[in-house]
Amino acid sequence: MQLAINHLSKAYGTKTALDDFSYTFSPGVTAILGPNGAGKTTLMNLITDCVKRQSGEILYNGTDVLTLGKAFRKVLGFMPQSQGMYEQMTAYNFLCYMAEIKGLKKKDALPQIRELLAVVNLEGAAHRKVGGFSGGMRQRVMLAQAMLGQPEVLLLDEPTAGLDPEERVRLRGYIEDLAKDKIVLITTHITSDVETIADEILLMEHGNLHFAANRDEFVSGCGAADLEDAYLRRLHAL
Amino acid sequence: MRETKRILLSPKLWGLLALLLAFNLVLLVAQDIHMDGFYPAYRKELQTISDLPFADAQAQETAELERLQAVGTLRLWQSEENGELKSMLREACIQSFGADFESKIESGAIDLSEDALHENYLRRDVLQALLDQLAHLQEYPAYLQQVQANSKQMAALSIFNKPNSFSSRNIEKTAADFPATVDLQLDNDFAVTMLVTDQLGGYTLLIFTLFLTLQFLDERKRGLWSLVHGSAEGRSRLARKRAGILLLGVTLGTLVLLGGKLLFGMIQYGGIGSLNRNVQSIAVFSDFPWVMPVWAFLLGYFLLKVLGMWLVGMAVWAILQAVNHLPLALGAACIVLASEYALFRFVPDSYTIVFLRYVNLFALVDVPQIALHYLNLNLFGWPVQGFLLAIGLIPPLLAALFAANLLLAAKKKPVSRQNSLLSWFDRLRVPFSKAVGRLRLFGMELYKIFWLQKGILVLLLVALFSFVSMDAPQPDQELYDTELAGLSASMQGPITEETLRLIDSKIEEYSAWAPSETVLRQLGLLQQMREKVTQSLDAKDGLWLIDPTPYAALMGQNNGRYQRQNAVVLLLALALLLSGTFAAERQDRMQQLLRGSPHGRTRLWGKKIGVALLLTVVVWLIFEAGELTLLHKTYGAFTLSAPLQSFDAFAALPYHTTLGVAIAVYLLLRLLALCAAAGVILTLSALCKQTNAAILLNCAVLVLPACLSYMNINALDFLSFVKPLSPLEASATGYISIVVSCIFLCVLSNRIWKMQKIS
Repeated sequence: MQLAINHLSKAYGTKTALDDFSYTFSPGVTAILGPNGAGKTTLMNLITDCVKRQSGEILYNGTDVLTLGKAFRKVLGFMPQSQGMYEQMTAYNFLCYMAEIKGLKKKDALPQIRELLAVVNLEGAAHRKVGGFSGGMRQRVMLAQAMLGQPEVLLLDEPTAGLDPEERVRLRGYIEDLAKDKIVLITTHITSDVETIADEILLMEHGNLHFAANRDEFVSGCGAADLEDAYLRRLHAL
Repeated sequence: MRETKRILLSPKLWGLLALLLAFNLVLLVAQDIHMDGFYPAYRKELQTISDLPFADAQAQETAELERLQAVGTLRLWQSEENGELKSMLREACIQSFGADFESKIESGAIDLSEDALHENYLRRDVLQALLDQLAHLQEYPAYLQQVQANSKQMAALSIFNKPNSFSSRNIEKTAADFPATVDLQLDNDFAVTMLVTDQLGGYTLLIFTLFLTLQFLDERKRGLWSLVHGSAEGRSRLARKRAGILLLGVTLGTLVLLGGKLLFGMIQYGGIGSLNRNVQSIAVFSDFPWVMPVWAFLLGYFLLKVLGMWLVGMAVWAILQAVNHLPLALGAACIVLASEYALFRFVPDSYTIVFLRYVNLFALVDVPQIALHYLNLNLFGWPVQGFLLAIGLIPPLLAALFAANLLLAAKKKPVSRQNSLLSWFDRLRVPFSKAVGRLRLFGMELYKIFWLQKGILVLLLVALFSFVSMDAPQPDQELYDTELAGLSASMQGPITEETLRLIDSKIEEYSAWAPSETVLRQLGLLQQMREKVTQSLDAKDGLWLIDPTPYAALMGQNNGRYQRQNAVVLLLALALLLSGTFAAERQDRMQQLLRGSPHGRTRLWGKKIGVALLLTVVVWLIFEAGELTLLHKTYGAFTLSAPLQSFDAFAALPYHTTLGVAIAVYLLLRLLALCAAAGVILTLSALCKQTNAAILLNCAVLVLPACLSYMNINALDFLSFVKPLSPLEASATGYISIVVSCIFLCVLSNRIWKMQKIS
C-alpha cells in the first residue's frame, strides 16, 4: 500500500502554493511540518481532489486517484482544518450522516460510531447539537468522522488544535495504534504531538518539500535535542 | 454614539425598511390596478358637487346614475335574442330614452360603442362611490340623534335603569361621549381611509420593531455577552442608550412606513382633502366619538403609533433579556406575542375578558381596530372606553418596562445554570437523535431540509394559505350559462330517458304558471336543456348533465388574477423551501468533507434532487387539496366520472376520457411547471454560498416576475412561471420546453455541484 505523489504543483493566481512536490507515503504516521502558508493544507486538498491540480500526479497503489475516483475516496479518511459541520445536528446524527456519505452499512456504522464517540470522549455529548460545542469538542467530532469506516489513508490537518493536553495524549495513542497498517498524514504546528508517533517527518516551506527523513534522522541529523528544536533549526537554516 | 450608529445606520435595517415599504406600496398599487382613470374622474365629479347641500348632491348623482344604468339596459336589449324578454327590455328602453331610441342609436345620439360603455361603467363606479359617501353624510346626524334617543329609551327600561349599575352608567356614558351634532363635509376620503383601515402597515411596522429589538442581542449571538457585561458601560448605561435607540428607531420606522404610505396614497388618490374637516365626515369614523379635525387625528395617530411600537419593543426586549438561553428567549417572546394576538383577535365583545383585547400589545399594533370600534369595558362596575384604556396604560407600562430593562441589564448574569426546561428538552432529544441516526441518506437529506432548515414552517404556511386564507375563484362565465348550470345541478347525472321525462315534467309545471319574465326565462332554459338531452340520446354519446360551475372556476381562463396570485404563493414557498438544498452545504463549510467522501458527489446530488422533487410534490398536494376542498365547498361536488364532453367548453375535444382525468391532467401540468421551477431553484442554489443569498436570487428570478405578472405588468412574462402554473394559459409547446429545460437544469446543477472546488 503506498501513496505516491509525483511533481505535484498548484498556484492560486500568481502565488505558488505547492511547487513540484514529490514523495511516496507508506504505512505509518508521516508528519508534515511547516509554518503557515507552507502548502500543507493545499497538499491535503489536492490529495482529496478538493482543489484542481495544475500538474503532477497522485498515485494510490500505482493508479492515479482521479482515475480511481470513488474507489479512492472509499479508502480515504479526511479531517480538514475547517470545522465546517451542520450546526443544528447532534454529534451522533452528524456521524451517522457522514457514515451514509461514506457508504457504510447501518449495521456496521452504528457500532463504529459508538466506539469512536468513546475514543474522542464525546459519549456524554453525543446527542447535543454540535453548534453548542467548544472548539475542542468540534475538533474531536471531526476526528471521529475521519476515522469512520476504518480508512486505509487518513489525512489529518491540524488534528490536535484546540484540544487539552489529556485529549491530545489520548488521541496520540489512538492514532499510533491505528497507523500500523494505514497511511496516516498529519500536518501540525505542535511538534510534541508527532514526536513520539511519527515515523517520517517532512518539512515544507513556500510550497516546497525541503527535507524528509525518519524521526531520528530528522532530530539527530542537525544536532538537536528534540523534534521542536530540530524543526526550528532546520527551518532557520533554509 | 457608536451603538446608535451600529444599529440605526445598519444597512440591514435600512434594507428591511425599504423592503417593507416597497411591499406595502406594491400591494397598494396592486389593489387599485383595475381602477384605471377612476380617481381623476372621482375628483372631477367631486368638484362639481362639493358646494351643493348633501341632499341636492345626492339627488343629482342618483339621477345621473339611473341615466347611466339605462344605457346598460339598452345594451342588454341589443344582445338579447329571446323574443319575450327582448320586448320587455324594449319597453324599459322606451321609458328611459323615448320611443325613437332606435333611431337615436343609429344616428349616434346614443353611443353604444365599447369606449362609451367603458366610460359609462367608470362613471357609474365614481357616482356609486360618491353616493356611498353622501349616504353617510346624510345619515350620520340621524345616527347621533339615535344614540341620544337610545340612551333615554333604554334608561326607561327596568333592566337598564338600576342606579349605580354598569348598564345605567354605560348608557349615560355612551350618550355623553358622542356629540349631539357635528359639522360634516364632503371631500376626498380615500387617503385617510386607506391609512386608518390599513392593517398591513401596522404589522409591517411590528416586523421592523422586532428586527430592531433583535439587534440588541448581537453580543449574545456572537458570544460577547460576558465581555459587554464585564465592561464599565455595558449594563444600565447601555440599556438606557438602547431604550433611546429603540424610540428613535420606531419613530424612523413609523415615519417611513406609515408616512410613506400616506404620502403615496395622497399621490395615488389625488390629495387628502381638507385637513380641517371633522373626522366624522369620513364613513370609517362613524363609531369614533371624539370630534376633531383630520390633522389632529393624524398627528395623534402617528404619536400613538410611535409610543405604542416603543412599548412593544420594550416588552419584547425585556422578555429576551430575562431568559439567558437565546433560542429559548426567542421562543418565549414568540409565545407571548402569539398569546397576545389570540386574545386580541378572537375574544368576542360579550366576554368578560374582553378588556384583554385592549390591555394588549396588538392593540398598539393594529390601532384602527380599537380606535374605530366604540366599546365601554366594565371595570368594577364603571364603564371605561376601551381605546382610552389602551392609551392610558402606555405611560405607566413604558415606565415599568424601562425600569425592568435597566434592572435586567444590570442584574442578569451572562452565565447561569442550565434552564430546567432545556434539560427536559435534552432528555427528549436523545430518542429523537437516535431515531434520526437510523435514517438512510435520503431520509437524512429530507430531515435537513424539513427540520434543520425549517422547511416544516413553509409547509405549514402553505397549508394555512390553502385551507384558511385562500378565496375561491370566480367561475369563468364565458364557459357556461349560469342559469342553465343551476337547473343542471338539480338533475346531475348520466343522460337517460328518465332525464328527458324529468325535464318534460318541469316544462309542464312551468307552463301551468302565469307567464312572467322569470317563468319565461326558465321555460327557455328548459327547452335548451331538452334539446341538448335529446341530441345526446339520439347520438348515444353517454354524456352527463353536470353542474359546470366548479370546472369553470378551476379551469377558467378569466381567473388570471386568482391563478397568478396562487403562482406567486407556490413559487415563494418553493424558493423558501429549496434554496438551501445546495447553498446550505457551502454555508456550513461542508464541501471539503463531502468532496472527500465516496458518496458526497453524484449520489448525494441525486438524493438532494429526489428530496427536492418529493417536497415539490408535497407542496403541490397540500395546495391542490386546499384548492379542491374550497371549490367543493363553494360550488358543489365535481362529477369526476362524467365524460369529458359533458362540460360544454370541452364539447369539441376528441379525447374519450372523463372529467376526472381532465382535472388530473390539468393539475399534473401544474405540478410539471412546479418541478421545472424547482429545477431553477436548485441550479441557483448550487451557485450560491449562502442560503439567504440563494433565497434572494430565487425570489428575484422566479417570484418577482410572477409578482409583476400578478400586477398586470407583463414586461417579464417570458421569464415567469405564471403561465405554466395556469395550464389553460400555456401551450403544449410551452410544456415540452419546460420538460426539456427541467432536464437541462438538473444536469446543470449536477455539473455545478460536482465542479465546485475549494477556493
